[in-house]
Amino acid sequence: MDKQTILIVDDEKKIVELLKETISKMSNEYQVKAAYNGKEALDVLEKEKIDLVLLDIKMPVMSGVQVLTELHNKKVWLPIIILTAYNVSDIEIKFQEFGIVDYLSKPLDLVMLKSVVGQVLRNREQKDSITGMSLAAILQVLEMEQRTGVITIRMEDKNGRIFFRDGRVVDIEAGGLSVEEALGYLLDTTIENREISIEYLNHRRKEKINKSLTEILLEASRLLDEDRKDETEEVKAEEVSSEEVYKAKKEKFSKLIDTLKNDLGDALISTEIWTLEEGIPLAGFKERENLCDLFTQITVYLNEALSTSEYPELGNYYIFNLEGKSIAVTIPVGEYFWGILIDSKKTPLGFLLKVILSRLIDSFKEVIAAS
Amino acid sequence: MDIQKMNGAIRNVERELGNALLSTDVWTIAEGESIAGYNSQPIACALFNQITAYINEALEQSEYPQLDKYYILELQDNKMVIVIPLGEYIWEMLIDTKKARLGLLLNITIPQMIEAFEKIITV
Repeated sequence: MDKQTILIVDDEKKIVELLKETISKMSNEYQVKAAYNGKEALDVLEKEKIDLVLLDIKMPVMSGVQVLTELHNKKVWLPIIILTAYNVSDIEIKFQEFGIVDYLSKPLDLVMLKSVVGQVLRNREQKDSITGMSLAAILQVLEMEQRTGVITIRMEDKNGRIFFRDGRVVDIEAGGLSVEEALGYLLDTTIENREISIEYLNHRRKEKINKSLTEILLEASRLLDEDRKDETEEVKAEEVSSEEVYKAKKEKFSKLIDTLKNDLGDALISTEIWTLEEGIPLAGFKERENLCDLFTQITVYLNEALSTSEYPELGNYYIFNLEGKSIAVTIPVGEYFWGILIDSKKTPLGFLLKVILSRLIDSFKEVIAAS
Repeated sequence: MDIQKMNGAIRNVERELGNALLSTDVWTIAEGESIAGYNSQPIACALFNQITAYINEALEQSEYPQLDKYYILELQDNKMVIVIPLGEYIWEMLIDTKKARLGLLLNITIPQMIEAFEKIITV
């Protein structure tokens, strides 16, 4: 087993040396690190795994209170014993949330110190890493055994903690969520890759929950059910909304085709608009079988051939002069395609490209962008 | 093919399009190498040889009409490629569309090119 590490934070070197010596003599399994102000302490806490902090309150550069505040803001929770020459009651009320497990008054009673430090570190040694049990089942076991400590739940995007005292859940936290939301989130068994561990610590977390475990679990289940119901309704709403968008888009494409029919008159042989994904006409006029597939394949080939050459990539359209005096125009815009077959005897190519096509492409792009 | 006449047809296109003509090549499908041209681009011969073969094959396998006299690809950066496949030969040209008079190109130059190309090949 790894050695347990105690961080002593005090600006008085004599006290640091005294504590180092005392704790080192307690067990070979303890190693001691020192910081002489709050800033140094935070640096150590950021870089190293610390099992217990002995924290002085009044220090230069950054005080113990500032360290507690910083750890609280960063949602870091670890056992802290406060060392202070002041009245602890004010500090106790203000910072009881912050992982403080005990207070020791200066001048220090070393017998008391060894007792408190030993108890905290022994409790941490008993830390259980739980697998194969649901969080609800763990809470029920802890209630039966009337244990005191902290459950830490590590997940991919959030960490959570459940504080229990004498088997009762007293507080729950998870990334800024309310107590109920946090429990609902932590109990959600659909979240994978969660790691649960328990530390049996005599923490001083204020009791925020005044409900039995059964009530808490029922409330969490209800919240989870509501969340899942909301998610299902959201999916349904999105489906309805995408259907409406699809319908509106089809109508706009039909209007574009009406404009083309007006522009070209009887020179327009056939036309259709389709998407790469669906490959069937969304709108059209005298649609021709398999045209979508044919020109999708040709466009994909042209894009690939040009993109691997030193030539510029395909622009807004391409035109095939076909047998039977017809012209096939294809306008690919992202996932959308517009294919048009025109009687070349009835429409000069220059007029088609310069006047009609440029306007069509703009309108086609506008409809696609709007959707 | 009469290469001299082909070069003459290319000079005519150069005169008509001026600096809008960026390059042009004529090649045989079998060889894929330029036999006449202006600012010749060997890459273009290989690339449009393949593209033309693909288009012909795709249309042949469909119920659609076959490629007739030409095809046009509008490209990014204000470029346009006009490809005229005729029998064993292909004539391709790259145009700067900012400088070209498109009406003249599409209604006059391309029909003239096709006519001249057909005459040179059939003689």
